[in-house]
Amino acid sequence: MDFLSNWKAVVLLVIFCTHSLWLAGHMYIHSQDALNPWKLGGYAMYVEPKRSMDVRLYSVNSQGLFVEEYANLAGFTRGNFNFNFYCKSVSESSLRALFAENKDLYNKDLQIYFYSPRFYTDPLRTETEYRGVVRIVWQDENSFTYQSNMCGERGSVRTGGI
Amino acid sequence: MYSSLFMETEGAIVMVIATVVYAFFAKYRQLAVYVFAAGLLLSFVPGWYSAANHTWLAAWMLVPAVLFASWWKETVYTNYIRYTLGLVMIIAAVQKLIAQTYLDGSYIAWLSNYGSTTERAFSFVCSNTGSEVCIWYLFIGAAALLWQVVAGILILVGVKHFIFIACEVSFLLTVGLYADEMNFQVLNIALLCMAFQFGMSRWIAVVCIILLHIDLIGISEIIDFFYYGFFI
Repeated sequence: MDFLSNWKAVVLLVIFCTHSLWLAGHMYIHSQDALNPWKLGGYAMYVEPKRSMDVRLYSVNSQGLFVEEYANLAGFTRGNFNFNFYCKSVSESSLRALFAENKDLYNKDLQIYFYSPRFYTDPLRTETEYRGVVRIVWQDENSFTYQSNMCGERGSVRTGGI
Repeated sequence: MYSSLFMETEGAIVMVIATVVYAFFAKYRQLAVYVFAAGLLLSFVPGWYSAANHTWLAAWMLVPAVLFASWWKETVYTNYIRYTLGLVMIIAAVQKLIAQTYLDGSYIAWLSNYGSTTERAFSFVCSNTGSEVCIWYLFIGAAALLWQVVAGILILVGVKHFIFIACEVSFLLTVGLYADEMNFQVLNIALLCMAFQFGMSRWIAVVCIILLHIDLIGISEIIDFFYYGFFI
């Protein structure tokens, strides 16, 4: 009872419980291979080599051929939490940032592919693996539709605008 | 954009320096945690998804100090530090168990082959190279994991025997050297001092400040400089 009558102690208890729940959530999502173990406060750094998402952009021309595009991905990366959630669908705001930072990509249908290295222990190696794709199709000068397919989960077709 | 960058670099450094200076004087110690909490939150919020784990640890542990006028003497607060530190040690060990890369020695083997200069420190214990894991890597991985569990439990129970504290500080410094990341270890040592209400003696504070300066350059870079004659 003494403890509970001290409101500061209760606040600390609430913070401790919240921290514990956060850690449990981190462990669960990490066990599903859907989150960067080095980040997001789960204390799972140094359990495997650092992974960074490799993002490759292709425009699709009128003949259906893929042409690799080299773009500034700073805003796109930030808008997707630096890809620390490996299976999260791409956000509309990040696509808007991509087009705002790369005016030459306006009105180009795009396919953005995601790859990340995976650590294998037998034999010891890392291999780059396909993680997902987002397909962007322009509907008119100001709007586009996009569909993510991350970690094998196909998202719904969404509409975005600039 | 500029203000965000300022907070992440110059602003954060200025606030950390102010915190350290204030912390040396009992009269300003409460102000120190306010300055620290403000600096930490302002730099943490814009890029929380990329913040390092020591930033998260500092946020969970040090920001609640603002609740107390004399936080370094409050048993409730120092108990909170102790329980959280013990919990974090055990969770770090559980994360290693989930990843299954320590009990088989594979991650130590990978670092010994492909890591930075300091991370290859144990490469001499095994003659093989490349894709195989030798028994010594397994032993080192398992020992590190076991110590994290033992230390976590002893901290939770409240054991503050000199031998245990000396072993834990030695472990933290060894890991800091190995991973070439002293800032996390300095934070852990400071939290240990707070948890057990030892206070940080001046010589430990001086050692920690020196370690933080070394951390700005990087131990691997310093070793490479003496080995190759230039920074890589």
